[in-house]
Amino acid sequence: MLGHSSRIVLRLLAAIGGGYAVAAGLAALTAVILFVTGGLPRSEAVILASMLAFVIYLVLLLWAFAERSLLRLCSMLVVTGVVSWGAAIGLMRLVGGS
Amino acid sequence: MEPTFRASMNWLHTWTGVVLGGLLFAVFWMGTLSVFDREIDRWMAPTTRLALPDETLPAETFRPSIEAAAAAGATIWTIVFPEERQPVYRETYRSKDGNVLRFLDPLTGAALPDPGTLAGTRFIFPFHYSLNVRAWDIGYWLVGVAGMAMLVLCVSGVVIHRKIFTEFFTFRAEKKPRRLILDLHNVTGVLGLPFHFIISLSGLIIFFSIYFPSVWQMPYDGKRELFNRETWGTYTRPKVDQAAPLASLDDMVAEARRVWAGEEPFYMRVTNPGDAAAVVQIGRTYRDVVTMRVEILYFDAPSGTLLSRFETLPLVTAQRFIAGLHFIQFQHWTLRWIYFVLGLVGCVLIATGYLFWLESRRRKHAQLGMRGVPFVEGLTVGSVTGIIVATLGFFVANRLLPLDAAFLGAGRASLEMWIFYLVWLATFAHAWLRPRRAWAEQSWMIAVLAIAAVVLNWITTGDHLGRSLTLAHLGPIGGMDLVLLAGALVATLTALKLEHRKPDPVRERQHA
Repeated sequence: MLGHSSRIVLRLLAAIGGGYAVAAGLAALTAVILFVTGGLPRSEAVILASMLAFVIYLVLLLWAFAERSLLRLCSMLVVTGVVSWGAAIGLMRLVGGS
Repeated sequence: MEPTFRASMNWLHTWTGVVLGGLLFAVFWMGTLSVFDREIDRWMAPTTRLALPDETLPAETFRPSIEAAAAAGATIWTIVFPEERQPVYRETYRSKDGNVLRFLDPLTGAALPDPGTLAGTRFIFPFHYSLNVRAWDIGYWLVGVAGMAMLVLCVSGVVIHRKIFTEFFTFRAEKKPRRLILDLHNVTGVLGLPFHFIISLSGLIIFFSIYFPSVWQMPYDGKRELFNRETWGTYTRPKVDQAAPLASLDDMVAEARRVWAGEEPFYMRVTNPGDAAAVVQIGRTYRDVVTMRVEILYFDAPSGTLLSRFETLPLVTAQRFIAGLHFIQFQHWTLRWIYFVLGLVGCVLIATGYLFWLESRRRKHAQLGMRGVPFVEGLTVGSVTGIIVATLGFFVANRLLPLDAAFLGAGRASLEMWIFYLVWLATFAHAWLRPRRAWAEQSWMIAVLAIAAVVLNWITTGDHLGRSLTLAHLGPIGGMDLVLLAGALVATLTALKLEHRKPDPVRERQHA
């Protein structure tokens, strides 16, 4: 079991750093999907996803401090982070970069 | 993390506020001043207090400047045309001997003497978004942290105060100071909530490519030029190292006016001047629209033919609209004042948040012998009154330093800046050394410096209020003087109130 202060430090790291990484991954994935599927021109997809990134990060930050289980918080962040970054990079590879 | 959602948000609100409140106050304070950055420029650079002529100069007037820049090895030469809020031409280029910035007379095009100040647009405004720390974009990131923190504070604040709209009408001025502070925090929080939320979010969105680089890097495979071309229509071509003369600039400006149905250019830029592959770019003004549109015409410099014309796509235009809401570059004086007042409301919101934290813990910390309250109180004084004292010190120094002032290799503009930082540092020291008297003493300093700034402006430039409030082109000077005097009045009343406060035994013991 972790002590009180190390739990707070871990939560801060998960919220600020983890939340940022997940927000960046989800936004990048959004941009890539919109672009690859032909939904939007590339620049439009980037701008829309970039603006959404701040909202995603805000929601993640709030959730990170509201979620009672630190374990669930960290595992959710790791899973979403790996999936979003992996999918975004994979999709770009699939269409052969730019 | 706490048993209930509300308790978690309370914890988050408290600690985000205490840890980042000082940074947030600095960003809000400088942002509020930036609403009037060009007016501050006029005040701090008296040689630019000129009337805007009805006629603009022909673009050919600047041909010698462009040729001089080309001879100095400049790769980019830019001129911003005068407008109501900045009635001078602003010429910039990077040469082998460093960056050149000149203000030109709007009537003749002749260079005005160097005002020796960074003033509003080059010190206060960049402080607002970068803290003037450019290395590795650290300043931008810190301001980004403050912006995200403000969003978190807005949402968590609403959750904590569920009865937010009934509390809006509660203002218990006669009650204990702690209650009064909380009421003031709630009133300013509710009143400014939409503005504070939008201003923070839009501020972040402006710098999306810094804060979320992966979002553009991934679809563009890290190719910045390609991203810029597709998004903003940025046109570039390499130089060919072959000299060629420049075609008629007047014709290019006339063509731009024709394309834009008579609307004026905002700036003109020459890339690789003197080269056969030089490009002249002319940007359209956005002073009549909220959207900071990117409408740029690119001309082939030697022939004057149009190379590229770009108009942004809908979502990019939406981003420029959001940026425009934040930058308020359009001309609307009523809105400009509303932005200024709401900015000040934000400053009061942050300051009262700090004060409430201090007042709620003062007794408990004193009983437990904890050092938290005195430390945070010093931090609060330096962050709140301290940055105001430093800003006023910056204005006063501007009126006191002679034009040729130099010290230890630093020019006049740097000296003004160092005075700002040294005074700010001193206010923190003062707050920790004289905790009992710091609030009152710094309030007195604000009052004295604000009045001194007004008097010094009168003595050194002759533009007293009777003059500046009657001559149209000195309006910004009169406005700034009036705001300074109003600030002095508020500071005096605050100082008097603090002086007559009954001594609090807990407070006395804590600082003993």
